[in-house]
Amino acid sequence: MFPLTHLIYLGLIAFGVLVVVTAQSFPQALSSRDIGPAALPEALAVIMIALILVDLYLSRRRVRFVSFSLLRVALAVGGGVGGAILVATHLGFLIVWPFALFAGLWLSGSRALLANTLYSICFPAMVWLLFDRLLHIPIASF
Amino acid sequence: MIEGILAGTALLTQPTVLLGLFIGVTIGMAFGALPGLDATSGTALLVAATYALSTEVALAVLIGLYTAATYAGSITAITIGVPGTPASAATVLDGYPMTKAGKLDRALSISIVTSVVGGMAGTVVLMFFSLPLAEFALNFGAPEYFALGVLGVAIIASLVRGMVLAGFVVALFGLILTTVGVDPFTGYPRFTYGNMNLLEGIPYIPALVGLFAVSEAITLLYTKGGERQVAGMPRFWAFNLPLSTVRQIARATTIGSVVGSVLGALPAIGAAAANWVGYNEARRFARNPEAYGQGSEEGLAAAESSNNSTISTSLVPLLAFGIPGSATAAVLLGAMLLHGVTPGPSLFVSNAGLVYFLFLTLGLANLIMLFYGIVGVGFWVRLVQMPTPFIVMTILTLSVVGAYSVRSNVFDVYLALGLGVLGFFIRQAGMSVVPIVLAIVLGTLIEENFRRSLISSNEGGMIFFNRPLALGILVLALITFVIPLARMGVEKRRKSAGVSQRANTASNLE
Repeated sequence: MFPLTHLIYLGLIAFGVLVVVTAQSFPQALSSRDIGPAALPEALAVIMIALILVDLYLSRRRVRFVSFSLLRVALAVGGGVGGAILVATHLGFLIVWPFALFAGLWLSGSRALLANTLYSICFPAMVWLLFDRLLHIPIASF
Repeated sequence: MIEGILAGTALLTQPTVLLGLFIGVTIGMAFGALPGLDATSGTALLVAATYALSTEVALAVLIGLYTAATYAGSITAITIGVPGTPASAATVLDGYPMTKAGKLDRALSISIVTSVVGGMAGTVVLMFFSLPLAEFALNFGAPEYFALGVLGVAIIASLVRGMVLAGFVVALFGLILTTVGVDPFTGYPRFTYGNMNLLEGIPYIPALVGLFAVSEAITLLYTKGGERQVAGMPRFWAFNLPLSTVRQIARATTIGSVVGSVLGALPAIGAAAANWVGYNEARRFARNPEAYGQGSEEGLAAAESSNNSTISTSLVPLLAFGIPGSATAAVLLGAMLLHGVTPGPSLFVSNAGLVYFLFLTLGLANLIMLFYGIVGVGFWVRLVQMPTPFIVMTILTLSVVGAYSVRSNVFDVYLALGLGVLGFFIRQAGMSVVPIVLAIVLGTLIEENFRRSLISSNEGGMIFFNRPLALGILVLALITFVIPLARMGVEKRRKSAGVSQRANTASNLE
């Protein structure tokens, strides 16, 4: 079990600090009436960090813990789909996606072999026909 | 007005537009009936597919999808007792008991007819409200638009139930994301870290796809989609609505339609809240309020008419001011911008035909939906039972292709995936991704109008105080921020007072 809200807030604080640090190198405004490119993101980041700290203080007695399986599912989907996209950029959508779908269905608990196979072949073909052939949005290349 | 209606009709009656609307309603019925998908994630998934279509066809597809998906959530609510979308939560109360009592055909018939009545009522309200509001908004300048943008984000953020501060935190995160890319006033690339893909900023469509669709797919996978046992299966021709029932539900349908139309026009209220308020108001004025919640036909009519009447009126802020009042309106705004259409008061002047086209499309989408609700409703009910892994893989595939297709850029797919994982964590923590999306859509408008106001004025920041309308809207935004916090403080104090009172009573008893 881990405190998910705290983890998100920690990430957002790190993001806010990065914004403030990076904005230091931005140039000045071109006009004396303008606030320049740095002021707004800096201000937003500072307010965000302040609100996070206030919220953490107010909710200090009700920390919400969630199971690690949540992290596992998110990483599995992120990693799996990311990996499939990476391979598809080299081999092409139509070649990679049927295998990716079949693996995805199997890993997410679908054991109907025939249905899985039919879906894995037909659905990417349908998507390719719709986007690539009918709408002329090229997708075979990634 | 007559000219506008004629121009809108000419656009709508093109065969490709009608075909697009028909396809949009069909996909919307499927998305709404599938548990986990709703009008917002469905629209986000389909935006990219409409990229290559003409503006009118694209809007017809998306409006058809939005309308039908909001209705079709009730199919799930009535057949399995689980709302297919948040907008049909109150529908479960009477729809599911009717199914268990063997009145599935009647429940589905009431649901479709009252949904269409509500949808039509909302469209009429949209037509009559957005025109005068847009005329009024023509006088707005940069300070007013800045203030409106801030108010839009503040309202959405304040509505994150039980986590007001978290709502504002994620909204601020979204606003910071919109500062990525070339600065519109100095041309300096901000937060790009040498990555050329970020020069144009965080692209809308991949962000919408990631935050709504990918995060939904991961959530479905994590929760396994829940139990989905259909309590009954309708016949292919299941329409069963005698005149006596129509007379009986007329009052509840009227109340639901009026409540939904009014609430829908208010930013951020949405179909989910209207569903409950419409239901409660109809019960308050009902001849037999005790029957509500136990398979009441009137209760079902009130719930269904109220949520569908918000579909059209939720577009009032978008069309009149160019500010989306709901998550789906934000997605529609993204779609319109993608096709070079900027909604707002100037659209009524520059392209009135398109505005009337939108009104008419909403009306016709309801009629096509009525056809689907009468003929072949059994097909949509069967779709409810689709196994979760297939739904998840369908969403993920469409997300990947949708994120890629707008710029033909793999970076956008990784961005959608990353934001999807982040969105999943945010949802699981009990927060909402809607404020981030609204902030991403409104962020550029807020910054540009803020800085334009400062540059064009001699009085610096005082310009916002010297313009009464801008000041009024900003004060409203401040109140929107303060009131939920104050309410939270009062509730906390009441709770702790209750605890100490119980402790005192316990010690007295000892």
